Amino acid sequence: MIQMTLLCQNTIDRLQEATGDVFHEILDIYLKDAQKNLESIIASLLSHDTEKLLRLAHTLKGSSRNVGAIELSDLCESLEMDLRNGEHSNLDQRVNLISSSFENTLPLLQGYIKP
Amino acid sequence: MNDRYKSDEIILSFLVVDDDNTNRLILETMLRKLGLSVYSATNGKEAIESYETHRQDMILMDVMMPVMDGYQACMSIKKCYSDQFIPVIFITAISDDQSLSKCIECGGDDFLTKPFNNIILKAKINALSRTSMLYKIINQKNEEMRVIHSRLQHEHELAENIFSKINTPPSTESESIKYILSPQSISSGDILMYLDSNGHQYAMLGDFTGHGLSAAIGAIPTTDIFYKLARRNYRIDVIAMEISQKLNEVLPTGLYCAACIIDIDNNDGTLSILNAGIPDALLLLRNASDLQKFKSSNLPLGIKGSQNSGFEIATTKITDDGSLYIYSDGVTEATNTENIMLGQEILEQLILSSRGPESFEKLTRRIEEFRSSDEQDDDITIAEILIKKPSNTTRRNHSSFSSNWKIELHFDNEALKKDKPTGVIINTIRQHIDSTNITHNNNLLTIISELLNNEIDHGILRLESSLKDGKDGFDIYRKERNKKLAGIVDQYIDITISIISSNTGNILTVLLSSSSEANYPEVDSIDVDPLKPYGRGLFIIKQLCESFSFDNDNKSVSLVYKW
Repeated sequence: MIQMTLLCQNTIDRLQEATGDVFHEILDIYLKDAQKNLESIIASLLSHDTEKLLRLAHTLKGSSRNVGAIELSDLCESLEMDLRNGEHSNLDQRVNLISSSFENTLPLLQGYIKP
Repeated sequence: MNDRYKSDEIILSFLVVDDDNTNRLILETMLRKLGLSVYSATNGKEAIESYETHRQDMILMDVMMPVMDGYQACMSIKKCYSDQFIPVIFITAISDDQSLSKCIECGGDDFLTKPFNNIILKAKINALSRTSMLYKIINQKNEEMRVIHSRLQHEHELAENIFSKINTPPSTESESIKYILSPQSISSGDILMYLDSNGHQYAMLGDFTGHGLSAAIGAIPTTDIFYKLARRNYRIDVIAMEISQKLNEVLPTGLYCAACIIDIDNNDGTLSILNAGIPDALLLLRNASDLQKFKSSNLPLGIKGSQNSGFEIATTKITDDGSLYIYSDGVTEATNTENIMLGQEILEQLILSSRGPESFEKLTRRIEEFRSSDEQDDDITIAEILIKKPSNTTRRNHSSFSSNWKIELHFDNEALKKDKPTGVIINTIRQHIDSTNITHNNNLLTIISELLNNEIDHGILRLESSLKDGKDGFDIYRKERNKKLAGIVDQYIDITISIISSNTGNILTVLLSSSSEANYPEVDSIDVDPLKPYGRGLFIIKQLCESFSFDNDNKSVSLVYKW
């Protein structure tokens, strides 16, 4: 498996520059919401609610991209696209990938909040 | 970078619509850091509600949202406010071609992709706000224009209303004048007045340079002064002077009234014309082969200084019946379909060729024919005043009075207090004069009453005319007069009035002396201050009388009036 970049340094630097003193709050909110989102993703996977799964993946994709969580965002996008195209195979495995990507990204972003 | 979205007058406001807390907070923060004011909504429905309340200048809209998505919200807002430019920037993924085209279909103006980049955001806002600002300014200007326009409209209506009330044209019942007055008198600024007064026919044609409101402003005092003074048989140069002075006061610089004032004295068959800036007045007598022209020899009324040099009057004897034509330059400047002006020469030819019965109808029909169907410059004002030769049995050969007579009256202190000498004398004379010769009767009565009033007020009571200045001046003056009159001691007036009639005319002689020790002014220095509503008494006497003199040693006045 090709090693993917977890965090886009450029994006996060720009964000910090553009939002200044609100930057920490943004990351804080992102991490809390992403955590909740991930829990919902797992719940809808278990209840086979693919429609809800698609919407959640879309949301997590967007906010993750904004904070530079590029691997997480790409995994969400891939899931969203496949669901849109009616491709429902290996959903468990893909959600697991998303979940572990978040776990890997989390400490990196937390590092920005409390250096 | 030139931040065009921020100006001193207008700070653009934004509506951020996104259901995701992170995205929303990022955008809000970026926009606030750019100094813009920001409102937020978490779905399409909230966005519409927020827009209805705050009318933000620009909307940043996410697509996928619960309750109502971004497409619907965008369409709804754009449809509701189709007369305004509300830029909507869709927040979207660049990878999704289908949703991009849908954004455009529902009225989106631009796209913003994640991750949000504040430099790109700034550039997009700059581009859209330029357009938005332009719309805003245009809307503001439109609103200002609308307000100004409606005010102008209102003022114009007001002016028209005033003008039509003031400019009541001569009664059509009068057989002595026929006229066409421009139906667009408010835009052409033409006024026409006519009055039969004590054997005189007065007419005035005025053409205001300023149209609309300024013409209306000028028309009010002009008609007022004209009728007031004509009714009292003032000379037309005095009428012109009064009007000119008043217009100079009320009209803005550069606006004035070209005018022609006519006085036809049917008592002695004299026609007087004062032309101040109007095309030649034209007289056509029945026995004459050609027109007699009365060119403008005065500055228009209302021009600063025009009244200083006085006004010139042209006079002529009326040797036969005839017609006098006065008209505004709208007539000579009327153009035909080939854009050729009617001109002075053709007008004169038309007048000559229209002689005879129904001359005015013929003339105006011919002018209309020349103008053909050009309704555009419909500002023609022309009048024909019919002139009658005075009958051979003119009154001047007859005495207005039953006989020659002389009265001498002495008013002592008590009589001056109680008897109102002016009234006593006027009533006495009224009984002796021929009531048919109204002009001269009025002149007689004016001379005597002005003389007596002057003697009592300024001679015996030593009142200053300047008391009449100010708002309640006349009231103050009257009170002061009554007070002083009640307190007089050892005062008297002697007056001798005689009328001698002969075949060559009538002569009124008045001699007056009194107990007053006030000095009379030099007769030559008697003048009228047109700015003041008083101080005309002695001036009128001087104007009317053949001779008028004071003797400051004897404290006496003598005057002679002939007719």
